[in-house]
Amino acid sequence: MKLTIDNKEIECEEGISLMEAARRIGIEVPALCYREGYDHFTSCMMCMVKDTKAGKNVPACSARAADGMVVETQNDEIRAFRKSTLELLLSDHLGDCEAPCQRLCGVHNEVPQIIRDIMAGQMGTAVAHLRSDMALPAVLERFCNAPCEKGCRRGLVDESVSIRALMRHAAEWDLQNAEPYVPPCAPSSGKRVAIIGAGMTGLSTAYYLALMGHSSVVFERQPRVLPRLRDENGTEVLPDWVVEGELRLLNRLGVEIRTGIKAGSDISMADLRRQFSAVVVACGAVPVEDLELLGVPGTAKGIIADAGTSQTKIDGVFSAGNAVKRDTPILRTVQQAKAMATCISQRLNGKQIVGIYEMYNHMMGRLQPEELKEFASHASPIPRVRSADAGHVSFAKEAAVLETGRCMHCDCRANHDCDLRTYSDQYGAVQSAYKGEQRATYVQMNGGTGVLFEPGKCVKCGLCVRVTSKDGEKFGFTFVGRGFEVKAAISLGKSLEEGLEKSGSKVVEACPTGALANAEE
Amino acid sequence: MSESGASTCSGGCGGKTSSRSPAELDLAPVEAIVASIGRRPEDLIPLLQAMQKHYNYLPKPALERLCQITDITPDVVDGVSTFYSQFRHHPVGKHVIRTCTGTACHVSGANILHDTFRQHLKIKPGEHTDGEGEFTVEEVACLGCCMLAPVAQIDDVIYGQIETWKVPDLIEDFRASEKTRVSADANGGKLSARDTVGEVRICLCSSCVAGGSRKVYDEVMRQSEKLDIPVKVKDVGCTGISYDIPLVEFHLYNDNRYRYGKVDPVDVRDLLLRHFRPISWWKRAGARLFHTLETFFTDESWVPPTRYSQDVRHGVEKAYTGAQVRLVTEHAGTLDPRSIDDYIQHDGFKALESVLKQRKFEDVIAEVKSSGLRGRGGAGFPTGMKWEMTRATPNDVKYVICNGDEGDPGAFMDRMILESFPYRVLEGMVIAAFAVGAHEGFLYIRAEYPLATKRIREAIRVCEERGLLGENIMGTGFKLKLKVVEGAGAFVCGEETALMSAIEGGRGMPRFRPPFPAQSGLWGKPTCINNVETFASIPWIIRNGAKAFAAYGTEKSKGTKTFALAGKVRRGGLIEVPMGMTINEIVNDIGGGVPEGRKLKAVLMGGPSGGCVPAHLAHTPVDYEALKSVGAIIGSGGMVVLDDTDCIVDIARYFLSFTQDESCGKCTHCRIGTKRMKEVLDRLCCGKGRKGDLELLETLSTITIEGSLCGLGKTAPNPVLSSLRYYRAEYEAHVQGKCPARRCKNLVQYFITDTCFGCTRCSQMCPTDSIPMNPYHHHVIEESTCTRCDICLQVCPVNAIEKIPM
Repeated sequence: MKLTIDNKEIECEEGISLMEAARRIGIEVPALCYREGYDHFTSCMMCMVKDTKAGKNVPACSARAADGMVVETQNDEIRAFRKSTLELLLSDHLGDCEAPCQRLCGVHNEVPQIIRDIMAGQMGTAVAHLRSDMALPAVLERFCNAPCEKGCRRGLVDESVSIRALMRHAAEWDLQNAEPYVPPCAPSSGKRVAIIGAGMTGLSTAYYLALMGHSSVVFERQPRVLPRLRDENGTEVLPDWVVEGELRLLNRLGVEIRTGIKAGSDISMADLRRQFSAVVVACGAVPVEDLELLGVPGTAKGIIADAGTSQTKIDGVFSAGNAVKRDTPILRTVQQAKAMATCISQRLNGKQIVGIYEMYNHMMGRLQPEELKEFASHASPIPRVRSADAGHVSFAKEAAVLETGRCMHCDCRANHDCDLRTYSDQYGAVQSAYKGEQRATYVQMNGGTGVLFEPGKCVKCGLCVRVTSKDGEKFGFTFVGRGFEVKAAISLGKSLEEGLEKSGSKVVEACPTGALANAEE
Repeated sequence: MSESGASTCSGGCGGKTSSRSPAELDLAPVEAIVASIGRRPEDLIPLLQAMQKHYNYLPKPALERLCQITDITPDVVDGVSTFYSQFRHHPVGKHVIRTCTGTACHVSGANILHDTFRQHLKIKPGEHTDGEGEFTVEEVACLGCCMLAPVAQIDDVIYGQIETWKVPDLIEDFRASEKTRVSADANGGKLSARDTVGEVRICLCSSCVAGGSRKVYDEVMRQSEKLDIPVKVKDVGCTGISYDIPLVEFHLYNDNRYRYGKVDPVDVRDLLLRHFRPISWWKRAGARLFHTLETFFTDESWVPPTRYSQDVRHGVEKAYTGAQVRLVTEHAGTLDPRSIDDYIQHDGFKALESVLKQRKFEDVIAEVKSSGLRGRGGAGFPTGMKWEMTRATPNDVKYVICNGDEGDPGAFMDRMILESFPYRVLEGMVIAAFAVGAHEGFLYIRAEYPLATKRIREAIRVCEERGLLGENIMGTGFKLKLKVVEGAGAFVCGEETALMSAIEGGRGMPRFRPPFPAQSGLWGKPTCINNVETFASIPWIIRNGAKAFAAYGTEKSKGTKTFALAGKVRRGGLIEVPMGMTINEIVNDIGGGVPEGRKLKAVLMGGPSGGCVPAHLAHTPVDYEALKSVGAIIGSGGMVVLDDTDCIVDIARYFLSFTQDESCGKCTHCRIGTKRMKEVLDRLCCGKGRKGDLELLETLSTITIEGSLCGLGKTAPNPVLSSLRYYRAEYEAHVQGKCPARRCKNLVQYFITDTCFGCTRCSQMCPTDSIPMNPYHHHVIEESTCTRCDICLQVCPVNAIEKIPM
């Protein structure tokens, strides 16, 4: 039997589904309610494909492949259909992909995850997570204005979690280690970037470029790095061991720092542009004459650079931070460095310059009082641990762990591994396209089995029902009710522990969203 | 609708209003029930029904016990018991009041009626039972008594044509009659040994009983005995003349027939005396004397029953019945539905005999094919082809299923046919089973039709006794075992794959087709599944030949079709007409047009899956293709007539609420899409419409049609699309916060005109005291507390109350 899927011919036996046939020739058809090894259920309708001869759309998970069929798995009509499918699901989806703290963080630091790492004593993992998003955290967390804490939902209960102090605790723990953590870098591109200025912007840019596989040379006219920050604050606020620790890491990542060299006079812009694949001007706020000397167009306010791409008027020359706008807050300079490094990397890799890609991010909006209670009920009720906050003394380990217990973990545990999020992103779905009149009330169940159940995130695919039934759980998952009100729940109102005696990890693995997730992850 | 539908509680909150704790619950009955019904997965729904009958609800400990002593697992028990709306997970009052929310009842103010019951019984918001635990109020999809709208059922007593102001009296009547009430379908019709002088024919189907025929029947029995008049009181299949019930026919043995409509029990004695003479002379004299004295001593002069008389040959009824062609409902009004002998005397089982003894299955299939009969359940798939497919699929085991899960609100054809012609349905099924080669079959009948279930069960038992079902039918060796399965309240089970899942004891969730039931159906076996009316058409086709059947109808739609004609029409009821008759002919000639000088607005065809045919297209014939071309469908045969006081947006919202409530919740688009559509329609009907809402409705309709697996979701947007097509201006008015028909409660207010002369009647009847008592003066309605229950408008003697736009 022969059929054609997306212009590829396949020969297969009778009785297999179109989904299976497509997979055999490497075509993935999106699906939420289907997992290999379980019966098809045909509820999500994401796997709709076009049977062009019959002129109708059929669900690939349950439609049988037939001889002579011509199937399209991607076309405008199907894409539009899948988008609307996702938008309907999103209109009935209750939760946040990312916690407010992470969304508000300039460098998009994965705060709740790091807090869970610290709580579990997994300091190495905490540092790895921290350094994957944040450059020079040990320095930055001494000066950050911490918008994360302003958005922290714990603040609605009593006081926000001491996020900045916890992050600093992790970063300093790392630097004090005999073998500090070295983040993995993308394979080297062989391209080099010149960075003028070893301030927060310049060093951060060097760090992010290194992660993206590009080496850099930083030119600093002063004899030491971070000159302004250190001069203004003194060693009590910013001790040398912190700066040196971060510098050691930059060296390990291949960043070369040349101090005492003044760009514009010691080395000309023309030379830099010739010798390097790109040039970054991160000289901080300088007089307009210095800019003229450098040969970068600017005004008394600073260098003229595109807000989206950081490109100056000169091709291949980028600028951000105080060099563009005076008195930029320190977190903002690191944020700009990250965005600029991304744009430079895109240019160096010959890609379109679009900046940092923002993934689909579902938001549940303002919490109802009872929802806040629900969140708070899963967190430690103690007041904010504040030993490290005001002064510049680091959190002690015990205090840090105590404080982590206050986090309400507003993020979705499955936000890296959620088919709904991935597809919503791929198909450009909009959360509010079919907004409902009234949203449901958020609840979560954490039965001590390590499985976190958030029914509001359920897409009613029934995979958990099939998994627990196949595993022979005594009280497995079942569908309760029908229609819009239908819910997946443990049978006969039993607890999660009673319902998931053996298949806890399997239901988490099968759940296409974060409705069922590992509580600890 | 908000308070009906599946309970979302998984049983955990059962004890909330319970007076007894689970510890005291006696679980022994569960064991007895399992012992009598069975312990297999397919026994689950009957087990739950029996348990609910015993406990009045499904207590959680009882469900757990059920899991322990059967082969059914907790996930299935919980899943199934929360899927069907019949099952309750918390205790209810001593009596349950179910307000019908069918289409005809809706247009007659069912929602107001439901609220009035709540108000009268002082039921708190969010609760369903009164403080004393006497009454629980529920809404029910459709009781199938559409001509008596609005209808409510208290336990098994159905009340029809309830005006809201009569609710207190109705509750009192129920309480008063509680002791004397006879159970539905108690067997009467006994015939004395002496020769009878004639027959008195009365229909005791559910809707006629709701209209009072049981009381008349009992009175005829009582009076004929008392007066010593030896008449045969015969319970007959329904005439379908629902607009004139209770209908009594006096059939004299000189072949004269006299029909009386709207008979009251007090008329019975005189009617009997008018047509028959008591046997003994002294009873005759006594009767005459008593009558004279009674007339002499009572103030109220007796209104002679001639007022009700219907002449079979002339006038009104002729118009109603004259244009009809009765094949499926042959001998309506004559046949005793409970008598197999009566059926046999009227050519019953002749078709079966000729099939079993003289024909081959191929011939039978060929005959049905050439008759052009198409499935009467709604989709219109050629019946003969379905049979052929089932026959062609090789398998030792095949099934035949009769789909009696008539769920369309506003349709009651199947109920009437099952109640009035049970033997005809069975005969059709045996013929089908022979044609496809099945030896086992099921009749799936919805929960709201207890009488139909009872009569079919009885008919099966009698047929088995007579060798018309069972191991050796008519001595030919052909065998067929039939079983009744009672539905448990799920409209979606009308969809064939969902229905089969229900018979298997699961949640009624449809699945993707193909494979079709004819290839892989019940328990994976080839299954021939047809609608009640389809099976009931078969005996006539076999007896009279395909040609005779095909002589009726149009090119592609052959034969006759029954319709439940209801709504704003003078004469409604169950009718059977040849295909191709125009809607105008049905509404005006048979139905007598819309009442009270109102104007025909539209005819709703095909219930929640159908559409509306506007008045200017009423010349459209009833024909599958013709109706489709105007955006409607024949559907199962519900036909609800709207007049100019009906709001089309309200109707669309009503249907969407229905389908949304009945969605099984499986497919994303049906589950969420219909919900979002309903929200938009809700907005429009309460004056909160937004710009772009109509376009949003259209988008949601399109994707819901495309993304739903089964007919429910695929057709749910039809009422919206079809009404938008013809009445867009009315929708746009709602976006502006106006209801041109003055129907939407939140867009109108009640106003007392200068005609008011201060009789205080409205003030006395107002349940929320929103009209201050002011005798002999013009009354005024307090807008803020008015609940728009409509009572004042109904009771005002001078029609001084008007609805005006907000």
